[in-house]
Amino acid sequence: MGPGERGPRRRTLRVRADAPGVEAELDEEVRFHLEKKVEALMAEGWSREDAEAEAHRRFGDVNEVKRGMRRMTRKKERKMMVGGWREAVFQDIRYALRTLREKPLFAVVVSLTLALGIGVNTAIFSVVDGILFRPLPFPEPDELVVLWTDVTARGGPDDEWFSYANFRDVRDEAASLEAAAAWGGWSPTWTDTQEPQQLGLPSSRRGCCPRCSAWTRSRGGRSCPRITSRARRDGCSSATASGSAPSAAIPPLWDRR
Amino acid sequence: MTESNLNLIRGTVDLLILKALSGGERHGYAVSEWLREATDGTLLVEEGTLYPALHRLEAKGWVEAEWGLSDNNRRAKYYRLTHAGAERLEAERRTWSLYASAVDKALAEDAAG
Repeated sequence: MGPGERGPRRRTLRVRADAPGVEAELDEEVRFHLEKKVEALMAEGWSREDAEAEAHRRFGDVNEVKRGMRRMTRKKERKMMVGGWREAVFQDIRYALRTLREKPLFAVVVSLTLALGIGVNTAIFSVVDGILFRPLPFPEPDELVVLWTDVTARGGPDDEWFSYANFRDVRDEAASLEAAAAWGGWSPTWTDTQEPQQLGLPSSRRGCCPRCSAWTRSRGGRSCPRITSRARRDGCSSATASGSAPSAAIPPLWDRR
Repeated sequence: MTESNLNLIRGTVDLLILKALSGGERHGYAVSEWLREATDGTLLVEEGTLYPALHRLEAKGWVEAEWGLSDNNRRAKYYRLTHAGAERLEAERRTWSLYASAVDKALAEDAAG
């Protein structure tokens, strides 16, 4: 790099107080002062030479004074640069708003894109928040267990649903569980000579919480001991407290057939 | 015209400059002349103090400057009090009055006993 290449580039990076214009103004301001002083002294009878010497003597070190002025000017420039930056941001915002106003279709597309993006984000976060971040609404959610029936001995799977009778045994007799609740989501379709008919679990309609289909009963006789307040609100308390098997609710089907 | 025989108490320079500009816009030389006349030549704000102070006041937004033409069509930088500068002048004037009268009172008291 030649010596000539550095100069201009460096100058552009400097604070503007060092720019030629500002420096010239400092010079001009000082020169004006000195000239006025010389005139005043000459009006008092000083010779021009003496007056100039005296004016400079009284002024003091010109370079020192200019240094002081330059320092203050730099401060001002910095303030103005911050102001200019703010102005540029507002200008951009105004430009964006103007563009949106002039091109409504573009504005609509932009708005929809933003809305979709924000909406999807919110939805995903809601799900993640509910599933991953928020603990289940039970007193000790980390002690909840799910039980399945192992029917491999009879050639079945090891995660079969409980029969109601087995559930009742577990609920009433398993010492390691404080309470037990069951839910059923099985909804078979009955087909015979007549029209196919979805059976669902009658108990989930009649006996228990219609939303979670949970059959619950605490061993101590209180119902829904540790189930969510929502399940309680939805009527879980009546649950299967009568002790009757949910399947008993099926007869209406047989009545219909 | 006598030379200054008093050094300005630090902090009063701003007050005096603001006061000098409260009568209308002035360039630096006129400010220094006004100060000398207004104090009967007792106070002299040296140029080495005056000009950096003018630029400092400008940086603070208490005065604003504009280039204009003086007598003989020479370009001069004129300083003018801003609204904030006028408020500042009032505030500093009050402070100074309190300060000066307090010092006066203390000096007038009998210090014996």
